[in-house]
Amino acid sequence: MPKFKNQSTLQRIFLGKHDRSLGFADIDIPMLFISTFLLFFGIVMVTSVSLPLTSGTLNMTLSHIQKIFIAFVFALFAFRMPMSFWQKNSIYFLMFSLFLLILVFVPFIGKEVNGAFRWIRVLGFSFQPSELMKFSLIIYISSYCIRKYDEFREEWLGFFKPVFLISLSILLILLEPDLGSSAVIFIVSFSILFIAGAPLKHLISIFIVGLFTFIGLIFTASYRIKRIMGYLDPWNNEFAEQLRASLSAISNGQWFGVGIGNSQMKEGFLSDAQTDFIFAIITEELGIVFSLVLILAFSYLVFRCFLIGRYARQNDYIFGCLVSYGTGVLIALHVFINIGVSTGLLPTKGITLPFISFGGSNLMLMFVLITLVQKIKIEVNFSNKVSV
Amino acid sequence: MNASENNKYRELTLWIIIFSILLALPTKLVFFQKNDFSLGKEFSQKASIRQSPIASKRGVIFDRNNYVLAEDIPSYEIGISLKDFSFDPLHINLLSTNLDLDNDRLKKRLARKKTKYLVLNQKVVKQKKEHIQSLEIPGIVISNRTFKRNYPQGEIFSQLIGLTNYKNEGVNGIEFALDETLKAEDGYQEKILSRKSGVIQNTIIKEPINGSAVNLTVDSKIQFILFDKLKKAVEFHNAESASGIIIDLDSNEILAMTNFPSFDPNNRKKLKNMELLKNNSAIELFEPGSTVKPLALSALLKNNPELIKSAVNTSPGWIEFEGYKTEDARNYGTLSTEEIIAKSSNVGMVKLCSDFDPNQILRTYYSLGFGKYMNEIFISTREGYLPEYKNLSLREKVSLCYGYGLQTTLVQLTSAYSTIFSEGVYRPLKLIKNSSQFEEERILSKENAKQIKKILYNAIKNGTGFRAIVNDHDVFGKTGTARIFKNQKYNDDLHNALFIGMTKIEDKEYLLGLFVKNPKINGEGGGDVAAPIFSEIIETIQKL
Repeated sequence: MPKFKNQSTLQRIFLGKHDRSLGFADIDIPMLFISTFLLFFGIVMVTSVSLPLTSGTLNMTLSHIQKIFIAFVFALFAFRMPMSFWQKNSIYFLMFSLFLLILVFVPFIGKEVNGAFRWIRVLGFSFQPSELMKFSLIIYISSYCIRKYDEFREEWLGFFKPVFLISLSILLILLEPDLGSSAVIFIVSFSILFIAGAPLKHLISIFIVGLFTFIGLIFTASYRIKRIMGYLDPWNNEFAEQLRASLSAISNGQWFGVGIGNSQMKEGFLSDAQTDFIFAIITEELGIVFSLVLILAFSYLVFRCFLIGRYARQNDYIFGCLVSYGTGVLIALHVFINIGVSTGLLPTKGITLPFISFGGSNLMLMFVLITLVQKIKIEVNFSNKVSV
Repeated sequence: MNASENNKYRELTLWIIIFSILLALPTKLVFFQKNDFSLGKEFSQKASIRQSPIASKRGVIFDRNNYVLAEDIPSYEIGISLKDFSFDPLHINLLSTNLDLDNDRLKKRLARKKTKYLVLNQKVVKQKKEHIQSLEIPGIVISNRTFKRNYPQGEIFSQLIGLTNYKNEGVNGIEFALDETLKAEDGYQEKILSRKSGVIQNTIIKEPINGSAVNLTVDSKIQFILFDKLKKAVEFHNAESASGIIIDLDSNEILAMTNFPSFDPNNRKKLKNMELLKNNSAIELFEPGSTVKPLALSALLKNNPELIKSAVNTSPGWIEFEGYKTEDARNYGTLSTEEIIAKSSNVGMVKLCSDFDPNQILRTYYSLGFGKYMNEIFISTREGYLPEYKNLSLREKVSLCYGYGLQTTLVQLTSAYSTIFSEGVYRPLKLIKNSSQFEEERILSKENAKQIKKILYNAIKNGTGFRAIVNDHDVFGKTGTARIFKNQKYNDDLHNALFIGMTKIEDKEYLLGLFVKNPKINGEGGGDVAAPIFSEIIETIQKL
């Protein structure tokens, strides 16, 4: 069979020297469409929210576009690598992530923001290692479940080896402290283990431990209790000012919004409007109807991930299946927590809205994961073509 | 069930859980829109409307020639945005020097990391503000144009005019007495943050109401002369303090009323001794001593006009009542009534008074203003002290005639003398121009008042008050030297020196009341200490 046949230059750049050319049927077009839409919509919203913060300049928008570009480079790299690369090297990614999580506490490298050590500074950029950890854990657990398939389902030790590493990462993230990311990592890991077929009694026992730890942690920090109190009575509690502002923004928007750029609450009333509370401003400017469409779009993205996961399983590509499900659950959790917090469904907890919020680390994570899911579909398709 | 089958069900479970939680989001949104919508709307309105006050101006206080004595001038708040501040020691020094702040304390305040903005001074006047702007220190924030009370005449008026507090309410002096007229009411505006960034709508809800101006009868120039002479006298005689009042007898308007020592009302940080806030000429009580003798005589003449012709033998220069000795400076022998006042003979006064009903004397004193608040001048005064008639012993009765056993203030005493110079008619003093007229009342007969006036002329020309003489001027007046009652006894070393005198300059009659508390060197009595101040003041006023 002649090599490079029908391969254009672009295809070579994106795919490498494959013996099959990439067709539209191989890529998941709805997923590509939705993620691109969310990305561009994110640029528009970050611009709208940041104008009052940067006194009318486009500094924040440009910085956001710069981050998208960097994320794109990472995604391209992820796309060029065969899935087996990630499967084989997942343990190194995990080790590297653990190393970075420790670096967070090292003076001059770690950066303190509002009393939390969540950032490290690299070449003038701030980076959140916990986001990298989310990625590393997804590929590591997925890979482990394949490599030690029988051990992990039948032996205690085989099951608790990954659980130990998950616990260690969660512990480091809790020390930052970042309860939200810890909870997200716990649930995503739990979901992968669940899909991979871990014994139910093991799962139930770690679920109970996780739940009690979570509740215990809430009640040992006064600011978390205050947030819970504010969540229970947002209109009268002094600690719920951010939540009140967020709910007010949503009220202002009504069904069809006040128009893009016209938000009142972004003018200094709602803090973190460009990151954790961007959904409130979106609803204020574009209305509840649009927000429902946005939730639908996110749900469809999750649905596509799950669908690819199922497709991979049906083709006995379990690593791809687990990574796809992990990605789907991660996106779903980010969306659920972010929008849940903005609408008062959940207590206040800062977490980004995938593809939309201002911030580079999460953008990179989402780009790379979505790319991997696309790659999974392509590889499954290719293997089918080869086997046919 | 095989493993693959099992996994299928697990996947299904995950699908159901994840999409259920995602379904919760639109449910919550729609539910919120239905129920809590109005609460959010209300909050956002509250959040977008900011109320802020519009500063109002307190009324100006003018003197009789429309010179400003107190006014509100624009002031600015100066603060530091710590984010932009350099923390350069040079900048810190510049700020502490220019804003009168303690350098070490400022450094400590700057070191508090939790604050983002530090207020350095809330009321900085325009010139200082411009100077600080010119220093170009990074991080300095100048904002909030409000008003600050300014007293351009400084210490010479501070006790009479008084002060305002941080809320711009009068707390003493004229500022307090006429607070209702002077006070202003801040307005307020609602700033509505517009939906388009940068644009702010202002709605004035209430216009500020500025205070009304007040015109006093005082004359800044004369006040300055009085203050200057009192200051020199205190320094020359090493006295505790001095007070003075000048009255225009034509209108009975107060032209000057001041005290030394005083304080600078524009620099209150330096005001450590709160006693300095007191307007002593209106509230310091003292026994009037010999200055009351002409008034006592007028009471006696009221009952017995023939008394003026009588003569009294004051030998041997002292007299004893109930174990207490009353003495003269020396043995004057036989004195006429006129001479008793001129020589200020205590023995003579005792002998004249001893046959009289003290009730007559007390009544005259009362109708001359003793023992009463002087509401006509609005500022805080004290009523002084007049004893009760029924409790008086003989000694107490006669001591009333030479100025002991009763207490008065300088303004009361001067006002009583004005009655004598107004031919016996009591005319309330005036401090505020256009204030409502208080009733005049005849206290002494014209004849009686004329006789006393003549005696007062003689008291200067041939008596103790000769140092008050100003060339070519007829001066009428009486000195007084009153021992100070301290530690349960009258002390021979502690005196108050008093002089009340009147003269004419270009058809205008000036009545002066002067009080020097406890002069220690260069003379001690009214004749040595207070009378010379009178002549100096008159000489200076003449040159105006």
